[in-house]
Amino acid sequence: MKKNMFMLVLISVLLVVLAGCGNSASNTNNASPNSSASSEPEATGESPATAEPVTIKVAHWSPEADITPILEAYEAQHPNVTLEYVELSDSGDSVAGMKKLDLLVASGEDLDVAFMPGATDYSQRAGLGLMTPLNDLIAKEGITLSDEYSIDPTIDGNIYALPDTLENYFVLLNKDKLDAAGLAVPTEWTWEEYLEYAKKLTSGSGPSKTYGTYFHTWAMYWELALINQAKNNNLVNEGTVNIDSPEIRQSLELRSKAEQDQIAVPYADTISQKLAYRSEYFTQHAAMIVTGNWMIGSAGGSEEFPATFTTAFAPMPSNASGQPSGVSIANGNYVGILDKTKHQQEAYDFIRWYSTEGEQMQNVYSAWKKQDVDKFIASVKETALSPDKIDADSLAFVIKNALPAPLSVPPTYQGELEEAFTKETELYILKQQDLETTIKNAQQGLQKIVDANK
Amino acid sequence: MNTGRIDWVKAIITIIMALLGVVFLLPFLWMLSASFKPETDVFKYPIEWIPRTWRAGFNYESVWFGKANFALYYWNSIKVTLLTTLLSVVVSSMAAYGFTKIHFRGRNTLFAIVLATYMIPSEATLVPLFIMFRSAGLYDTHLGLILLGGFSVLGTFLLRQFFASLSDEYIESAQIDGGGHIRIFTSILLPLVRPAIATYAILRFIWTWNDFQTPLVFLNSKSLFTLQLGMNAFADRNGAFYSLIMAASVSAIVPLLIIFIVGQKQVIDGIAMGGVKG
Amino acid sequence: MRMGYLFVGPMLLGVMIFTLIPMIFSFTLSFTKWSFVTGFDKIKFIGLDNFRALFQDDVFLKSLGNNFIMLLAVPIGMVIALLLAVVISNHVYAPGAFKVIYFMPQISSVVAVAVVWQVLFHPSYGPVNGFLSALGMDNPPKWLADPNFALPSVMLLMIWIDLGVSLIIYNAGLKNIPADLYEAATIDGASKWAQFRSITLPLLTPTTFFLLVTGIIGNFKSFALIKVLTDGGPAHSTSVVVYDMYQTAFVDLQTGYASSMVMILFLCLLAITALQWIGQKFWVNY
Repeated sequence: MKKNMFMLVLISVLLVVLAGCGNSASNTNNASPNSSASSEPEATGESPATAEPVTIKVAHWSPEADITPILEAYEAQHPNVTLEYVELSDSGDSVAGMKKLDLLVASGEDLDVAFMPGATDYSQRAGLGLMTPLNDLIAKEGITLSDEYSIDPTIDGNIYALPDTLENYFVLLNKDKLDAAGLAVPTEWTWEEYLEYAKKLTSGSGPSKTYGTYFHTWAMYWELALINQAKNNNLVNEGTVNIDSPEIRQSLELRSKAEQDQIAVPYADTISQKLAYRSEYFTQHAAMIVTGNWMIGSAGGSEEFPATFTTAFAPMPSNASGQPSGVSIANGNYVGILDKTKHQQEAYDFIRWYSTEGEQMQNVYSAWKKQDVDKFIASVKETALSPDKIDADSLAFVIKNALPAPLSVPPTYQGELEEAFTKETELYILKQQDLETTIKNAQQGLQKIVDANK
Repeated sequence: MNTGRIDWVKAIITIIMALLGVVFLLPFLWMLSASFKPETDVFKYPIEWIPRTWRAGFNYESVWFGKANFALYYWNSIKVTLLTTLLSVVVSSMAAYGFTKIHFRGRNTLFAIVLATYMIPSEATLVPLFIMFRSAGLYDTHLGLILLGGFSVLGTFLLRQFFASLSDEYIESAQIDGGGHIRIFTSILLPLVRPAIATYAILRFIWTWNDFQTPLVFLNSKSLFTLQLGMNAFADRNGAFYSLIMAASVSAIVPLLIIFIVGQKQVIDGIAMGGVKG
Repeated sequence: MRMGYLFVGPMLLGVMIFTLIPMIFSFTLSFTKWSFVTGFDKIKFIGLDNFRALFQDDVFLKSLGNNFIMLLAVPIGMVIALLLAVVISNHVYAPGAFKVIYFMPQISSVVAVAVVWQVLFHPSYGPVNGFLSALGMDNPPKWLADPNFALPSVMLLMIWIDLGVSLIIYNAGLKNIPADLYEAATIDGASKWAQFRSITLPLLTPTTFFLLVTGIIGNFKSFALIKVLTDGGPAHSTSVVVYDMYQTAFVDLQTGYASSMVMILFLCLLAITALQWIGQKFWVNY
């Protein structure tokens, strides 16, 4: 027995030594090409004389073919910079991509630039000290961030990434069903009116029933009357838990009413069948969905989900008449520089270019304030499979009148908060507990997480 | 008269078992049916078992001659799975023999340690393994995948149970004849546990073939992708295209069916009975 | 003597490198506050704090409890597998075809398995609930969407998927029983039932022992099916330790805390397996 214990200790020591070796070995290995490159005297040639050649490794979850043209365009403008693309997922899966990013960083891969698919992933990694603060670089360039981008990525006074794409939320409506029910495309509406629309759009019964609306499983669908607020629109704002609030009550009541009146796809079906919002909408199982910018292009139909009906767009509803429609939290992809990089300035120059001009090469809605929105809409229509199925007027209205709320960057433990919140709301919608118990339990549960992370 | 009655009972049992069996066939039938449909029909409720709109040609053509190099993935899967199975069967049967038929110091302690390692979920060792593989140069290689699947506690334990049920007399009499352990192992005991070895080989083959998580984490280059990983190409940021994934899955199932049917028939059922003492 | 090490050597080496070292690494981390993405210099030792937190963590306790309930699926699955194995090998026509059929859920894509299950147990229009309503049940359970029925539904599915594996392993066990034993018993006039009890069952005990030990370990470690089918929901009613650990490690990025969950899981399994190991001398015949 003693011998076994000794073996265990021995192996542990061995392991630590091994891990240490492996780490330092890979570090020096990785560092060598760079250092040798920088120590080499720069050949005086046709390239800008002062700049030394640098290689910047860029990690993103998009397929290589989508990103390469943009990187090549940058290289063409900056002959001393070589951009090496690290594809984190071959299927554009951002969740798998983040896992790969974390594993690569953990094993000492010397990445310089990383993209992150949303504020939650961004704040989590910034909180862990993975990203380098950009404040000095921004000050050096002399720009004011709020003049450039419609999202403010500041966390506790520090900026760890630049906003890349812009995501905000609005409503997609099946215009054919709308016309059949004699309803107009709303330009100004409340959640109450949203439910009335849903009621009028519900038809049929049995498996082929069309529901007025569909709410997906994401946490945002349990806080619909909160994410349309201009301020304090998160579950926890600056350390204060926001569950016991009129907004969350209204959010839950509206879900419950839609469920009771059978005008939304039943939640039991949603989770037991693992329903997908795309197929619910495009197979006309649901006539309206609350969704975001990434669905604009899809509305024109895709190979797999052809558009068989016209899609119209309506702004995010407000909580009561008199309040503005079209307010929603702004989210999106972020691009930052890893803490371990040796080429801060070059990496910064690149992400500045990418998040502004570079992005215009892609068909995405950008957080850059100087993006030409009309051009964006035109190019969306151009690339759509059936452009006539996108109702251009209502789309232009929604985009131009959107009021992206300044995002309060979520705490580093946002994921845990959402999980704890969803657990209680599920019990509520499945009629396992009433509203008051739900609010009380969720408030306590989230408070516990906040306390644990202090 | 007597034989006729027995046949009748047997026939009834066969029918009952067949009815029960339908439930077990449903997933496969669903795969077939989905692989013949356009995407929008895949999740229609109630299920259209026989597609109303056929798109089999398009689906299978996209899989085999589309943007993904499916044939290469197929070959990679065959290579990785065969070598993993081979390595695993050799290592496991040797260890099983060693743990049951040879007496040496610390035998039981060592087996206990081996079994204890089976109690750790692979998700828990992912991070250290990834770091080790990167520093050892095994990351993004087929060798790495084969090594990961080649040392199976399950196989060792299964075969150990079968070796343990064989009488030690075999060994004693062979040792009197002057045979060493290597000869006893290869020419006397191995043939006796052939059903167990074949069963384990079939299971290891199927599990390795269907494994998605390990290649996902430990492979990076498209040229090395296995089938399960390659199927990812039929999903994009908009979600997965199940009609294509199912066409790919149906194509991928063929070798498994062959292995299973041939393995069951030739190796397990075909074995001569009798002469084995329990 | 030395031959012994030669035979078990390759296995030991492989297990040591690919499991034991990472495992010890993981155990060490259970006493730390660390996120694997930040590098080794940020490891902070915090003693037993993680374990203290675990026992106040409702989700973890619920998950651990679910793991113990799910263990029930193992013996039930084994009994069914044994019955089917005996029936198939002796009492049906075309036994080979049945082995393939009952094995199909193992071969089929996990997605297909999950979809078929979801559809059969569809809360509103599924055939199972259709049947129950026809029998006069007013409010049939919502199965996977019902916090009280989700776990049993998952267990049922597990039994169904893994039946094929236990079946062919039992089948291999049956093949290993010498036919002359049955012949001798028949000559002695023993009934089929008596033969089953005094020949089949005892001679299958090494196989049964194997299936029980590995079945419990495998069941305790289950993750992939939960991830595909329910994501631990609704309201954590199907969450298990490995699922909770995976979320903590790879979504919340708390490697230290996740490692302490693994440690508890390991200790539970070690205790259960040790009990079985001691118990085997009372019922396993080698």
